[in-house]
Amino acid sequence: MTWGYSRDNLEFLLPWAVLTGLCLFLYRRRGEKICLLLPPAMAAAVAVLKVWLHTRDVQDGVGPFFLLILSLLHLVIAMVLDARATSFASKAAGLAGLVLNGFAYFTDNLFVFSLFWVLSVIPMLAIFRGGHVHARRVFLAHHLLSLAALGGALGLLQWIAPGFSDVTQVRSLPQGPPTLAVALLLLVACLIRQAMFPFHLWFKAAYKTRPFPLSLGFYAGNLGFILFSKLALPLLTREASDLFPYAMACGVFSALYFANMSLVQSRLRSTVFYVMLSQYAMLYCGLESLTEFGRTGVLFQFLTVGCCFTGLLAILYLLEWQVGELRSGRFHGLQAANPQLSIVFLLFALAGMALPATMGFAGEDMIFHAVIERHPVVGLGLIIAAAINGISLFRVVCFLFRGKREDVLDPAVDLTRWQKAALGMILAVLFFFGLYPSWLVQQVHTYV
Amino acid sequence: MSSSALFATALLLPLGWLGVYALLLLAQVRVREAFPVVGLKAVVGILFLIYGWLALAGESIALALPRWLWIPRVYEFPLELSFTPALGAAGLAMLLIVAVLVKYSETYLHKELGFHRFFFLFGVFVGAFPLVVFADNIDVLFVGWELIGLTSVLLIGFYEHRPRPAVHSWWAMSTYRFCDVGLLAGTAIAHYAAHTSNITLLNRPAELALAHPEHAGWLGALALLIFFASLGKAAQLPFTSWIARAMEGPTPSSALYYGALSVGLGPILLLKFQPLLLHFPWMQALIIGVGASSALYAYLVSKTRSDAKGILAYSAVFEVSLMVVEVGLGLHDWVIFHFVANAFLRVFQFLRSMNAIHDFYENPLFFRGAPHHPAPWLVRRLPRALQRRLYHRAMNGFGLDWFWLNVVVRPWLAMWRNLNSLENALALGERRRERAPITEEDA
Repeated sequence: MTWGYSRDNLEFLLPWAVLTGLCLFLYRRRGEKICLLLPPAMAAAVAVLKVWLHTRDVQDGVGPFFLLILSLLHLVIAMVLDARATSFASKAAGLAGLVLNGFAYFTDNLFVFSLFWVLSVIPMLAIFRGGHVHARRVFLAHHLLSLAALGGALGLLQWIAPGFSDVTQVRSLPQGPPTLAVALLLLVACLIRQAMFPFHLWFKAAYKTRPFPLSLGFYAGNLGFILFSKLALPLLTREASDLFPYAMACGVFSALYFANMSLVQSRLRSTVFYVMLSQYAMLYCGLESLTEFGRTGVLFQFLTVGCCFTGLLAILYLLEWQVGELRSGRFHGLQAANPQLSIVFLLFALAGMALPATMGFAGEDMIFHAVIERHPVVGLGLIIAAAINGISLFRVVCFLFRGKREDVLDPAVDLTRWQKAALGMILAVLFFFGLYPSWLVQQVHTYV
Repeated sequence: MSSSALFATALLLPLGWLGVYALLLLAQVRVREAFPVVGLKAVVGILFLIYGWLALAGESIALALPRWLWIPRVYEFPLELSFTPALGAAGLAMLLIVAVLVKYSETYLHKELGFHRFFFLFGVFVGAFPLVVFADNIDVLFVGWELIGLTSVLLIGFYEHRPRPAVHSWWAMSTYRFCDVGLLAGTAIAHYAAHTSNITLLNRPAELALAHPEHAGWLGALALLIFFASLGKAAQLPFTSWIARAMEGPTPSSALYYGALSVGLGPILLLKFQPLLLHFPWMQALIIGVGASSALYAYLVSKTRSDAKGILAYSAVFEVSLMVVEVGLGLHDWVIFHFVANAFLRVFQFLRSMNAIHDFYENPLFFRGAPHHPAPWLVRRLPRALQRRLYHRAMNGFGLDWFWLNVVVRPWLAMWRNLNSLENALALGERRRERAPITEEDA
């Protein structure tokens, strides 16, 4: 551990200060319960301290980096969603997810990580209480399978190297088929947690049947991402680099599958969720490219996807709360009553499509180049998936805001000042670093 | 001020103006209609002076802007542009056309709900067009290409209260995105196979093949992808049918995009990669073949259209197809001349199209009476029954829409709908089959 201050860490101080200020503001002005606001502020503060006090390398840096992003996004969601739009239980479940995931991010102990992996499922399970029985079973089955894979990997690890618990010492494990089996089991656990094909049904069951907390969409899978980048990827790289083309093929297949699925969804929220999953699948491919700029692109794109889909889903939730379920069977014509909302949604959608001048463009550019450098055909698949995602998002924009609405909406149903501020903040980040990405990319690169 | 600095100023000026305009709109300041009109005229005027000065100076300028996306020793996304007097002529033509259209739109869209949206998107076009024309780097070209596509799509759906423009803009968006895969994949393959994205270097395929013999085969794929990318914007076969749907937007935007400039960017893209494309004889044959068949198709369809804008759109496709053939034949400056001449003619025709009935019946400067277009000479030589059949086929666009909807889109979506139903059954225990609308009729 190195104590001291580095100028490079400044970027963590500013968001934390902003976050604390926003929390206080929300408490005072919006009447949000303080217990809902403190955890993101605390999580962000811990993330800052963690990064500040430690030397930066990928093992230490990735967790706090993700946690900081998630805390910020959670707070934006809290600002955007009206206090009445989401139930207290739903928000509380989201926050519990954040806190439990946060602990998992910070630890290098595999057993502690696994414990929080298990615990973080509980808030998600809580939202199924009294709900759709079949969906709950699907959810449970997936997570039990994930736990079994993780448990199997831990058991095998103890057999290979008794007493092994430090994730950072992964490279000291002996080589051989058992270690490869550990890597594969971990991969399965990650894929289930990240809701990658064919283990994505729990995600569908969750968001289609329950008022799924927005933020949970991001927390839920990210532990899979962390485990993959910290443990499964180094093991796989060492044990079975020959398997990487197949792993990448799985990633690109997921990206294409989710992209095509997004085209045929009848509920607009489902479309956006599928596009999000497709974007996450691309991140896996980027990680598997094993190039420096590919990984930088993945971290950069992770930030972008989080920002874009926070905005898109928050607005969709807001609209669904105001006008009811939004389906793709008709043009909802919300532009007339919600002009600002439509512009903000369009801008988020454009960023989600990775349009030039948004952050998504830089991130996807790096990922595509990295993947094509290793496997051109896989890269082409990713590009096609990105194109289809763009079509899907534009379809959502058309159905939501185009056309004429039969029932007259209250023109006041538009963004409030503070909703504008929150969404504007994310948009400013998306477009500013889209126009000038070099600085942020270089900061992100220090983690790789 | 040096030529390079002037050129850089010309590229950044529209961006600065757009930034100010966007901030004013987002801050909800009451912006008067005069602001975008005067602003855009001023920007166009200054750009005209700069491009004119640079073109008259007759020198080529190579510009490399500071590293936009850069990780030291790891990754670089260079912004490289080059100005040549011939391409400067295309830039000047664009500015003249935009100036005319701004003047026209000022009154055409006066008090219209989307007035500011229209002028903002026009501004984006003015900023993006030079990126395509002057790009010396495939990455930069892609940026301009995408932005033009986006503005085009948003202007097709300009009248947002009507569902049809939304469906048509989505159709155009899908075509653009599908074809843009070619350009994006081409960009990545250029990095992979040639370790450069510089257009000048990529246009030396023989040298590249010698330098990177292990990747020589990819150069053919790169050429094919570039050609594929050009098909969408240029409305070449089999992607022609979106052009008639694109006529839903305001007339000035139709004139700018589908009569004059956007549709002409396809041949311009091919022209920029002409040495690479013509390096492969099969590619040359493909370009000429697709261009000639698209020209024939557009010619026959335009003869049977009953709406003025439809006729003009297909006429523009006919001209663009000829430009594609010219690129395939190895002509260079002639293509630019053709592009500029066609742009002016089509803008004039589009802007007059709303007065067509008045012109034909009342305006003494034009013909009197209904226009009579006899069938083409070759068609008149055919048997009557065949003529009639050909006419009906041409009226239906030779079933191109039918092909895309019934042979490609619907079966493809039906497959995914079935998979979605399966997912719903597995995840939610649902038995009901979901349907998502895709066609105009469904919507």
